[in-house]
Amino acid sequence: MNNLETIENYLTGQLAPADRTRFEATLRTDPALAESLAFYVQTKHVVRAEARKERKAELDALRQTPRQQPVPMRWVAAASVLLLLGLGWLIFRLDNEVPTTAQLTDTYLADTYGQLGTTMSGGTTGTLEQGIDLYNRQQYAEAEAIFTRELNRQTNRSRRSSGSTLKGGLGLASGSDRLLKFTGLAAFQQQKYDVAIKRFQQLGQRTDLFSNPGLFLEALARLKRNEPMDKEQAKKLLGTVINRNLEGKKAAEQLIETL
Amino acid sequence: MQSLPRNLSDADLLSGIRADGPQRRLYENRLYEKYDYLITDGVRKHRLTDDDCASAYSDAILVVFEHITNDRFKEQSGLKTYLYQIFSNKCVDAIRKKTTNRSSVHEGPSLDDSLLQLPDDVRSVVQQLIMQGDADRLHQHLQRLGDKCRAMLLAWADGYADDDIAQTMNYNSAAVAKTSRLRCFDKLRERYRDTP
Repeated sequence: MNNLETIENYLTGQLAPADRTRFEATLRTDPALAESLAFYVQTKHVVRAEARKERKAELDALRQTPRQQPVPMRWVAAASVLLLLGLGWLIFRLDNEVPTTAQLTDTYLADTYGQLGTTMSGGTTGTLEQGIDLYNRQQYAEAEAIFTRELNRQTNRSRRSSGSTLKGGLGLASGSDRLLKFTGLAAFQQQKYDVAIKRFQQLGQRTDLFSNPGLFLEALARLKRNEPMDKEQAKKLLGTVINRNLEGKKAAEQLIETL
Repeated sequence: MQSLPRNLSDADLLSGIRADGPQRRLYENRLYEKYDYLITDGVRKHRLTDDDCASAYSDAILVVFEHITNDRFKEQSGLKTYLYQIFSNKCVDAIRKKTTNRSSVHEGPSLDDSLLQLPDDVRSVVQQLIMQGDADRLHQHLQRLGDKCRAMLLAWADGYADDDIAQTMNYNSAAVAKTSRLRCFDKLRERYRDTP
């Protein structure tokens, strides 16, 4: 039997009593066996100390490793309730959400002036129809150029024929209200709000019209431009539209609530 | 090797550590983690640094592992109480070590345990031989023994049976693992003898 194996069997109590007695007798007479036993015991001690040192390092490393803490059930429950409440609130908000001023303005513009009607009163149908067609195809810059040219042409003609007797005192001919509106709208669609406001102001000053959307459109343009004082001006204009029962009153009532 | 559930009871931990298979280490790790908040307690109560307290906790937990595997822990108290008592002693050791520069009286297993069974006349001879031995040189040879031999000896010294060593290190049987281990022992002895 291997020397070390016998030593190990002896120290771990695995030798039979007779073998055990014989082993102890040999130990007394054989220095090499005694030396081997001393080596075995000392080695075990050294190796054990080393194993312990390594295990301790492993345990210390465990402490350094970030651990995922189990989340207590009560926190999970609380988080779920909060999530449900949040979702409920969101759904309620979505169902009952009041549209903003900008949303209302865009909606009104798209619904009412997204497409222009082609029925004209007056003789210059060819050019205007061309402008309206361009506008309806969203070629707003080209449409504006046509409307502006036609507007200038009509104004000049009116001045020449009527002298100073001009509609509304602005040098504008009858029927030019549509041109003012279209020019303003084409500018509005291009976000040229300064031009649009100017055109709508001119339109709003016309007193000879049965239905005049000038004030209301100017209010819309001011709301979109949103420069200092624009909001206050728009509010005033909308108030006037409502009080004087002008074109756009219904939308003005909605809009003014959002301001 | 399968992972263990996060929240194990003390009874599960004890049976896992006593089962002595390759999973023993995982159960030991879980036990370490389960009560490692004692380190924070120790820092507060004993006014030790975090590192000193963590070291005392590791020492305490290693003693508990040993007491569980050799059945010295009789479950007459709860596992936490038992661990806490040893941990407190280790903290006191650490304080003593810091204030008086004396090392712990509980450091590592005693050589005498293995020698107690020897007849008295033989024991004194063997003890003398051990004292003549050079533990540092032995340690150096152990470090240079080769990874597999070293790992095998360390696992054996850590209390793993040859059966477990065979499983973990892919030997055909416990007998083969034992033969290989004793061969590593022999290799270490030759190097220790031949190289001064």
